[in-house]
This record gives sequence, C-alpha cells and structure tokens, in this order.
Amino acid sequence: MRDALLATLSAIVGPRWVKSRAPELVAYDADGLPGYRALPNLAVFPGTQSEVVAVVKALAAAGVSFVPRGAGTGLSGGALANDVVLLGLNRLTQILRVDPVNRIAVVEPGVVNAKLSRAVAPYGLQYAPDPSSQSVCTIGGNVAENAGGPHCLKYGVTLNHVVECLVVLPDGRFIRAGSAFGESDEYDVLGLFVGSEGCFGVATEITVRLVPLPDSVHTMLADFPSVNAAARAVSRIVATGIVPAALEMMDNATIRAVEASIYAAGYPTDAAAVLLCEVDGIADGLDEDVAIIRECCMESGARNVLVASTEADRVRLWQGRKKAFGAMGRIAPSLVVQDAVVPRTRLPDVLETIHEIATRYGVQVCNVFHAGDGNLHPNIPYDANDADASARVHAAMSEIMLACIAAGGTITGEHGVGLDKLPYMESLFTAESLSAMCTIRDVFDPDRRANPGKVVPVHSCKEWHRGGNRA
Amino acid sequence: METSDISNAIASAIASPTVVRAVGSGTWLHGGPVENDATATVVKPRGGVIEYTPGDLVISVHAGTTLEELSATCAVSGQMLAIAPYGSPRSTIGAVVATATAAPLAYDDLAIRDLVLGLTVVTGTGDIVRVGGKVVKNVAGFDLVRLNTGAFGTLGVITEVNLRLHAKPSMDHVVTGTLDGSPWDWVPRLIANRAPLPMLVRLAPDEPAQLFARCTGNGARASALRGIMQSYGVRNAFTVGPSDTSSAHEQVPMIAALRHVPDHALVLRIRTELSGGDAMLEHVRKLLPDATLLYNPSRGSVRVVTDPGHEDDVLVEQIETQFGRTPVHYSLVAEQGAPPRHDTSHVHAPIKRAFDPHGVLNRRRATFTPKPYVR
Repeated sequence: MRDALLATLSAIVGPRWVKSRAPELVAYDADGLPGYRALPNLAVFPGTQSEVVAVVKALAAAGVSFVPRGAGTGLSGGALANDVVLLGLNRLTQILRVDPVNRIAVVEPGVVNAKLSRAVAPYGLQYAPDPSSQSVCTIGGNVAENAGGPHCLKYGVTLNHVVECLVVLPDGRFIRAGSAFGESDEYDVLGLFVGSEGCFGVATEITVRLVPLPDSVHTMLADFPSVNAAARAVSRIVATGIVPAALEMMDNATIRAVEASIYAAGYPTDAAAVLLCEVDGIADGLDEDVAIIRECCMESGARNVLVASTEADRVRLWQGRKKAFGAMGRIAPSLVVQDAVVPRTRLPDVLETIHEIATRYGVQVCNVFHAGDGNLHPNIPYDANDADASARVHAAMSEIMLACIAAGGTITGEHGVGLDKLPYMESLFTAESLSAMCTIRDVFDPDRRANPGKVVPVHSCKEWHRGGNRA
Repeated sequence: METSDISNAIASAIASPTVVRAVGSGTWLHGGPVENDATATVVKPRGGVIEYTPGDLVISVHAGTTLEELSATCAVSGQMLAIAPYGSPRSTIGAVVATATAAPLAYDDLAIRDLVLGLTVVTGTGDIVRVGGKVVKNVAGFDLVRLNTGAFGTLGVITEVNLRLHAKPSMDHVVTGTLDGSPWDWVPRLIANRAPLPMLVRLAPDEPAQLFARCTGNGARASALRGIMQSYGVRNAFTVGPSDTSSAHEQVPMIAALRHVPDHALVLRIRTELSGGDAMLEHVRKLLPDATLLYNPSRGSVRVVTDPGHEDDVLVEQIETQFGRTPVHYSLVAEQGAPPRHDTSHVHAPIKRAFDPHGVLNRRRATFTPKPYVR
C-alpha cells in the first residue's frame, strides 16, 4: 500500500519531492510545539496548484489521511502528521497578482508573510496581519490558524484581510470560498474556513486585502513598577477611544531575556513590565494621541514613557518584542509558547494566578502578550528531554489554561487548538456545541482524512459514533 | 421566549411536522425573506442585557434586544456598538446578525461580522449551541459564529449575542456636501484618493450626488479628515453631529434618515470590485431610474432601495442579466425582497441540511437550486 502510494505521488510531483525514508521524514516530525513528535508515513511536496489537486485526489482514492503544512511554525502541534501523509505546501511561493487599484493580492499558500508585505510596499500598501514569526511563516498557515500579530489590535486578524480562497476539499473537488469583490448571499464559508486548521481542505490560492501604509507612525515604550499598573494603563488607553496600532506588554522575565540576548532593545531591566505602544495613520492628530497615551501611562503609575525619535529607535524597540521568543532560547533549549485570551479587566488577577501556578510547579514563566486584546502568551523555557521538567511544565500549562477559561476567556487567540489544546475543548464548549462543530466538519470531510485528530475531540461527535468509528 | 422554550418549540415543530418562524421586532418582514407560512410556529427571542463589563468593551445580550436599547445602555459608559445598521432603531440585534445588514458610515468601516464575538443558537434539530466567546480574539474550534452571521436564520434561531464595543472617540462628525458630474467623474477619484474614513454617496433621482464622510478622532485629525474630504471636489460642505465629547453619531437626524428604510421597500445589496463602482452605478441607475442608491466607495458596494412595484424575482433576474453582459464581477444580496438564488454547490446545501435536517427553519430563504460550483 505504502509503496503503491509512493509510486503514485512520485509520478505526480517527481520522486525528488516525495520523502519516504526515516532520516528524511524526521525533519518533519515536529512543528513549533516542543515535546510532541510524530513521524509522517510519507511527505509530499507539490510544486503547482494542479499537483496539489492531483495529490489530494490520489490520497482520496487511496483513502489515506493527510496533514497540510506550511512553514511548520505553528505552536499548537497542528501540523503534526502521525503516521499519515504530510502535504507540504511551502513550494507554492508565487505572488500571482497584485492589484493596487482594487487593493488585493492573489497569492499561493506558501508565500511568506513578510515577503508579501515587502512586495506590495512599493504601491504604498501593506498586508496588515503580522505574526511574530512573519519572517518565516506562510500565508497559507496564517489562514489555517487565523493568525494574529501585534498590529491586529487596530487592523484585525487574518480573517479580516482574506477575501477569497480557492479550496481543494479532501475529496479533490474545488470550492471558491468568499469572493474577491466582497460579500455574497451564500453562507460565510470563508469565515468558517479561515482558522479551520486544515480540517476542511487546502487553500491553493488566497486573495488578500491590502491596506494603505500609514503616513506616520509613533512608537512609545512605557515602563512600570508593577504588572498591575501596566494593566491599568491598558484599560485607560482603550477607554479614551484611541485605537492604538499595537499595545504589547512584556514582563520582567521577558525584558531580562531580551536584554541579555543579541536582540537587546534598551528595555529597562528593573521594570516589572513595559508597554510597547504604537499609533499610526495620517500625521495630523498623532501627536495629540501620543500625549494622551503618555498621560494614561503616567496616571497609571508609569515611571517613564519613551517616544522613539528615529526610525532606527522604532525598529530597535520592535525588534525586542518580535524576537522575544528567540531571546528566551538562551534560558533553556525548549520553549512552550502558550496562547490564551482573557477579558482585559481580568489581566491583573490572571497574571497573578499564572505567577502562583509557576511558583508552585517550579517553572519560569515569561509573559509577553497582546495586552490590548487580552491575548496572553505565558511562555515556559525548559528542557523537553528532562521528563520531570516536562511533566511539571505540562501540569502548569494545564492549570494556566483552565484558569483562563475560568476567568471568562478562551484557550487560543491566534495559534489554534491543534493537538496541544484538544484536552481543554470540553472545558470550553458544551457537548452540543462540540457536536455542532463535528457536524460542520462532516460537510467538508466526512471521512476525517484532513488533519485527523485535531481541533475537536473525536469522542465529542455524536453523529460520528452513531455511524460507527470510521477512523 | 427563553432559549429553552425556543428549543422546545423547534422540537414540537419537527414532531408535528410544521415550520418555525423566528421574529424580532418584525421590522424586516415586509419583503418576506423569512418564512411567511401562516401555520408556522412563531418564536421570538427575549430581549435584555445579560452581562456588561464596560472595562472589557464587551456586552452580552438576548437576541431580542433592540438597537436603541443597546445603544442607550452602552452610551452610559461612553461606549457604542460601532455600527448603526439600516432599518429601524427598534430592530433587534438578533435580526441584525441574522441578516448581516450593512450600516452607513460604520465607525472604522466595520461590519457586524467584525463585532460578533459569540452566539447562542438553537439549530433546526433543537440543539442549543454556544459558539465563540466573550473575548475579542478567539480561534478555539470551528467558526460557527461567522457561519450563522448573515445566514438569515436558516441554520438556527439566534437567541443570545456577545458583542464587541468601542469607546466613543472624542470627536465624531459627519461632513457632507454635493458632488458634481457623473459617477464616472468622481468614483475613480474617490477610490484612488480614499482617505482613511468611512464614506457614502447618496444618489437619489433628480438630486445631485451627496457625499457623506465620518470624521472621528481628536480635533486635529477630524479637521484634517474634513480637509481631505473637501479635496474631492465636494461643494457646499457642512458638518453635522454633536461637537462635544458626548458624540452620538447614530442620533444625528441626517444619518438617521440615511438608515431609514421605507415600508415595503425592496432592498438589494450589490457589490463589485472597487474599480467597477462607476460601471455598477451606471447599470443600476439605467435599470432602476427611480431607486435611491447608497454607494460605499471603500467596499465597492451599492445599496438599492426601490419601491415594491417591482416583482422582486423579476428584478433580481434583470440585474443578473444586465450585469451578465458586462465584464463587471458582482455579488447580490436581496436583503429585503426576493429570496436569493443560491449558487449552491455541494457545500451550501449540505450545510443547510446539517443544521436543519427537517427543514423547519426559514424555508423560503433557503430555497436552493442545485448548481455545480466546481472547477
């Protein structure tokens, strides 16, 4: 069976682009989530859209499951292919069309996020969603996870910037979800597809909305003697009616990790927390916004608010934030980057709870997060090869996730459920709600061959059980 | 009615068998997009605030809550639902979500799709499904919130809604004036030079085109935006709206007039590429010289409000024929009038069947005409 599939796939994409030997496959046994490894049965890398279709049809004919994968930077184990076929999309890197008049671009799924923004900048446009991994992550992966980023506070997440996807369903048929020119009277299948984590099919062509580059940008760094004071400042700023382009918080552990690394940004290492705040748009009125935000910070207890005076300063302040995860690599060989969201008013007490949990389990938590959205990233550096440390990290993370749910939040704001968050889905949703999710999955993938075992626990699907376990 | 009552009503309808008609304030029923079967069981979700924490800028309400009630509640804390949709202020939020109705001059060009965080929906099987949540970012599970938004109640009866709110900006003005010439003179200019502000052009029979722009922010920005807007060649410009910090955009009479939908009017939404705006306006104007057109240059959409003398099915067909002869790509939503001609593929009809297997919900809207949509 495996040999026959290998021959079929090789005939479609060429033998060079099908990996079948263990030493080759081991390169794809993990994504950005440490501690989880799973070896694919085969890995296939189509180079054109028609090859993707042919591959998907061949897999359908053979009744074989597959896991779509972009750059493999996902942080929830969503791209792990445990003994099934891994469908790599990172050879599909063409920007097919940029239409500056209609402010759209049509791209293949393997286009790297930052490359798209660079390509459209000469037109005075940008692709706004900017995950921290934007220098390597792909648009296809962003669509699968409904990725966010620091500037999503003002500009919105991936969903708000994707207008159409050409999707190959798991049975090899196409659908066009959304429309390049806007809404239709159909169901919002695009809204459903974005963030479906590869469980509904594979996007082979993605049309994104482009937005004008701002005329002017002001970036500030406020430092605080306590996390509570920084959280208070966030609430005050948001309440003014100003919508900052970004409002990011880093705690002391993160600040020290950044400042000890090659990404040092000049953050005050004695601050309990810093807020990185940016406003952008037309130049008129931005100075007033900066003054109001400064006032909000100082009234909340900030020690200082620094405004970047040059582009180099601005880039430096952002480098510390964007590379914070990388900087934590100095602390330990592995890093769990978690992703939960809580109501903004609950930030101080949830952060306190996280600290208490970390202390109890003897792990170090570095918090760096999108404070304006309440989107937390409690990160734990550890050694994934140390069984005891791994167990403590796992237990601490579980408690943190449950604490976020108890605070009225959710378990993922931008990284997806994948494999890592699967156990919390039943704490978050009722059996009826999970079953409804299974119902919609059945419309697209009745045999559950696309990214099997992810997002919704299989035992939650009552229809699935009624029909017998078809896995 | 409580959510559990609606669930029971749907279960009874399945057993009878009959159909269910979900209503809010009844303000969107004239064109008959929802089930009009006289024997239908009417279900009406209750109104009222469930939970409101101003610090989180999130409110949870029962679906029967009216827009004016919602607006008044949020205004006390200096907050707003960032859209003021077309139709009556007595419309319910459940209906707004179900129809995904557009809004003139929505703050920051937001749509209801961008503001719904979570829903409670009773499906056609009577199951009570809670999807989404109460935080502004949430990608846990499949997005049934978006699927139900704009589904016209064909997949379930919306009974509770969690909404994202915005703090009111310190200034919130609408500048308006007239535009000379034909759409092909000013449409390309509006698209090419679009300022970062929501705009709308009103084209009424025998009246000059009137441009509206919502200028928000601090004083300096609002003033700059006004300047940009006037640079489009707008004549006789003037500003409407409160000038103090208690801005209430949706209460400005001129904007309220824009939102008004005459009784029994036929309402269509047509959308095209931004660059196709002038051609779209030309075609619609030719076909419907008596209609009032509201054109949004940032979305490439036009809202057509016309009298019910037209046979709605015939009109939709005429528009399709008219556009079919041009290279303009478009989409059409019959918001109040003809049921849509679903370009249903192997996906849309199965979605309907999955959540309403007995066909009890909004049957007229869900008239599917199977048509392959595959390449």
